[in-house]
Amino acid sequence: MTLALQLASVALLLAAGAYVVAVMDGLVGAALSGAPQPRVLRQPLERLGRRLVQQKTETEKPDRVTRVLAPALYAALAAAGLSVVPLADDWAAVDVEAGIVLWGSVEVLTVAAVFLHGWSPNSQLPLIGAYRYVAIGLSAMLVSMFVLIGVALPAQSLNIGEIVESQRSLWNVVRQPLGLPLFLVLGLSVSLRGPLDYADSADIAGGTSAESSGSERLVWQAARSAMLVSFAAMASAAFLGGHSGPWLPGPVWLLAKTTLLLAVLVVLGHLLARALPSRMMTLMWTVLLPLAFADLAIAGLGALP
Amino acid sequence: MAVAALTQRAHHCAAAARVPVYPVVGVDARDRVETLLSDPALDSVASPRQAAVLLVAGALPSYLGTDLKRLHDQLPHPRTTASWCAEPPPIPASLTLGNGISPSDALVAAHGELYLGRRESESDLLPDEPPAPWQGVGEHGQGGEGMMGGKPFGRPMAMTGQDPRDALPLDAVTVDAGPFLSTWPPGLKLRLTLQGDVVTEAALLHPPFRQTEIEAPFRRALREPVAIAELERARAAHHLRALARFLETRELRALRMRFIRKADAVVAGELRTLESLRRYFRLSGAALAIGRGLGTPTEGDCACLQGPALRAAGADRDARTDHPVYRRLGFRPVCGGRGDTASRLGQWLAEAEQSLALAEAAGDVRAEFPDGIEGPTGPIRDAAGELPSWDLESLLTGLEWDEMVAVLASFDVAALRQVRPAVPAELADQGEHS
Amino acid sequence: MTAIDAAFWALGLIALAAGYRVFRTDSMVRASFLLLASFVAVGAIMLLLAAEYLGFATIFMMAVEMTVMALFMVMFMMNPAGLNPMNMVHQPRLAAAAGIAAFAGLAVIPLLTDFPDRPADRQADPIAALGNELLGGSMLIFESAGVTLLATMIGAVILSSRSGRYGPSDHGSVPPGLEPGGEPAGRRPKSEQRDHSDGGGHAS
Repeated sequence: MTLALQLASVALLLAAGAYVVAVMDGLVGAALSGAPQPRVLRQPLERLGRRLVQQKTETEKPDRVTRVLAPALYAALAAAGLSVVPLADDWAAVDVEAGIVLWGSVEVLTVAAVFLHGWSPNSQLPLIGAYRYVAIGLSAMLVSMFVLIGVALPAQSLNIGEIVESQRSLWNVVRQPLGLPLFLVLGLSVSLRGPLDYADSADIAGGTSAESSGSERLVWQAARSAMLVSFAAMASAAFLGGHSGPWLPGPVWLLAKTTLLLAVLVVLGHLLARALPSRMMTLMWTVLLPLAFADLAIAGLGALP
Repeated sequence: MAVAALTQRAHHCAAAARVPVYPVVGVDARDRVETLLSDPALDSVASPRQAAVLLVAGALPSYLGTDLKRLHDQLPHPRTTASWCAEPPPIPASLTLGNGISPSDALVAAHGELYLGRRESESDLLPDEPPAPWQGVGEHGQGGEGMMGGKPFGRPMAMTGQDPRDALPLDAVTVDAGPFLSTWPPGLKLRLTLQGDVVTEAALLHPPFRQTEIEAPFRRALREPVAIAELERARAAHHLRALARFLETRELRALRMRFIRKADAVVAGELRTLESLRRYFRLSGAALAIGRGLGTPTEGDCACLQGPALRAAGADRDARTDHPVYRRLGFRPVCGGRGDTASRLGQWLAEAEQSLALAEAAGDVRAEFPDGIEGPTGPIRDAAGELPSWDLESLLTGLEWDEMVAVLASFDVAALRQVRPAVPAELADQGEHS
Repeated sequence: MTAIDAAFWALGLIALAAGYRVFRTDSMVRASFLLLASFVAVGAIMLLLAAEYLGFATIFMMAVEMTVMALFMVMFMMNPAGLNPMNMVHQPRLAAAAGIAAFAGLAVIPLLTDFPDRPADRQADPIAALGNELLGGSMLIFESAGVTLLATMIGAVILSSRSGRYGPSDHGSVPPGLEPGGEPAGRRPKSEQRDHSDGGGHAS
């Protein structure tokens, strides 16, 4: 019974979160472009309506099964990622000892899902998007794994609940100042957003989703937003103390911190330019990865008894 | 019952949504299409698969009819075509814009009707069949020798070729890109041989269409006195629009919209400084994102360029230098230096700022330029001679796809129309007058 | 039959079916992702056995490996959706014989072994035990394996890169001589020793 309730809360959080992300996108886009947007609250629903009734287009010789499964896998991964984040004390839908490792598999399988989504329509531009996303996405994942090992050190556990617990006195964002900024890079990468959108970008006409319309596009775009929500919840558990906080109940704290991180990610996504893939690759391996090592060293020194 | 009610609800929602438009831009139509699509009720989409309305604007040559039909058939149902040009476009259009009612209102109304079932969705223009039958010959039914190559379905499959960068033999595949690809200069069609996303060979199939809407005041100034402020504002607006197109290739759609709106404000004389735009440009890291040294033409090719692109390579050639009015305003050309993509972008921004300052300083001064005038993309004369051509194909060779898109966005259409192989005369004529 | 038993049989079936499909598909990308599906099912079976860390780590590592493998396949063979059919099987008879022999060998172990009946302590912490094993008793083995693999990877990257130690490999780079102006140092490939006309270099 509790499990059903917990799974339902994960699904509800993802759906509501995806809507909030869409509204934030509208607001931030309007503020940055200087063009007032009408009906910001309704627009996501109107888009939803369109994608529900629009034709789902076919390409020549696609891999039909994979074309359907890739967006579904992406959405399922977002749900799996969120399910290990405790909403309150001892209240995670899936309370596994190796929560961080589960999140790591979610990150990697996301790369696989995006690749399959770009590969399955049998079309050139989506394939280019898929192809270069694997390179960048795996690099971003590598950086994030070192950062996550850093937050597991003070907790002496791979369990997300324990990691939240270890931040009762001091949040990881203070204890390991390099961690959260480095982790945010992953958030933009797993949700194919702004400066790290190498899969669905404008230069390749929408990349992996250049050929998708209708319900397929609906699931894919919703999954992108859901993955961002899932990431923000994980980041707030790993760096901002998750559900812990004074006065208010746990879930409220988690929601507030997640919303804050979502806002930061949405603004960054609209504000920062996407670098050329080769430059981003150099940045990842020569700057971000050494910074992740430094973060791990700081975490290790801090965790010494 | 419930399903029917839900479907109807979804149709109503869809009818009220922002109109997803895929623009096909022809001759002299780019600026007005961009201004139209900056309307918040319209949404310019990156792929025809996301659009409900195909907007055909400006004159298009009839020989691109097949490309246009294929593009039309890529739109998902329900779909409609809107024509916004003086002459009928090469494909049938259900909607004609520009007679009385504002184009954006007409598009919103048509989009609403489309989803409420009051306007019929357009059917395919080309038969839905593979362009060629299967041509497998190998022992496993594959197209060619060994495990690869050959022409299954009439198209060449990948074959091993040498990678230009690290000498690793990878498979190369040849595809045609354009002429209506989003974020490309409209009309540009290239035949690209790709290894992964690296361009190992580029061949020009069709040059971009002429875009000279912004040059109207400059052409007027060849014959009659025109306010310096008007000319300089038009120049600044051109440069801001060029920067906006580049920002789109960097995934900055909101900032692109800001630049386009500011360009319109500049023309209307409502904007006096570009301080905030420069701040956004720097904050976005758009110049850092491409770095130095990308897309530098050879010295000989640089000399063939004109206007800002030439000055970005360090030359101080500007027709304004010798004009008495500009000399009185204390005009000195801005010169970049490196001639790469980043310096061409910086050049646009610096010249736009300079132009606004000149417009402020000039006040109501009017001047005539019978011997020629420095337009936004280079000198404009009555008797324009043949311009030397430069080699775009070898500039693009060896770049990654994203780098190629950034380099293309850093040249104005005038420069891209000046490339080798020279545009055949009859093609160029058709392109402009059909 | 408990839910765990049902899950075990379902996952086992998925692993087997996906593994079989690996050899029946005509596209390399499909083959690698079917293999990934098979490994994910095996990882999930490990989760059923309460080996959480090993289960997730298997899924994690296999996802990275298969994605990279698929990437390299697309890189070297742009046949996105198996549009150009190809035979994925080489030496099928030998492979079948080897496969049957290996299966029989492995099947003998569970059939003939007398497994001890020693239920694990519910309070046991498998992750901590694994960590103590990796960084305790077996540290030497794992560290030497890790360092060897790292050295192999770095070596492979250096060998395949164009910018060699003595210049671009395809421009006939040669090591300098032992004395000024002398013969290039180092061992020479056999083909070159026969033919000196093309100026040397390992890419000629």
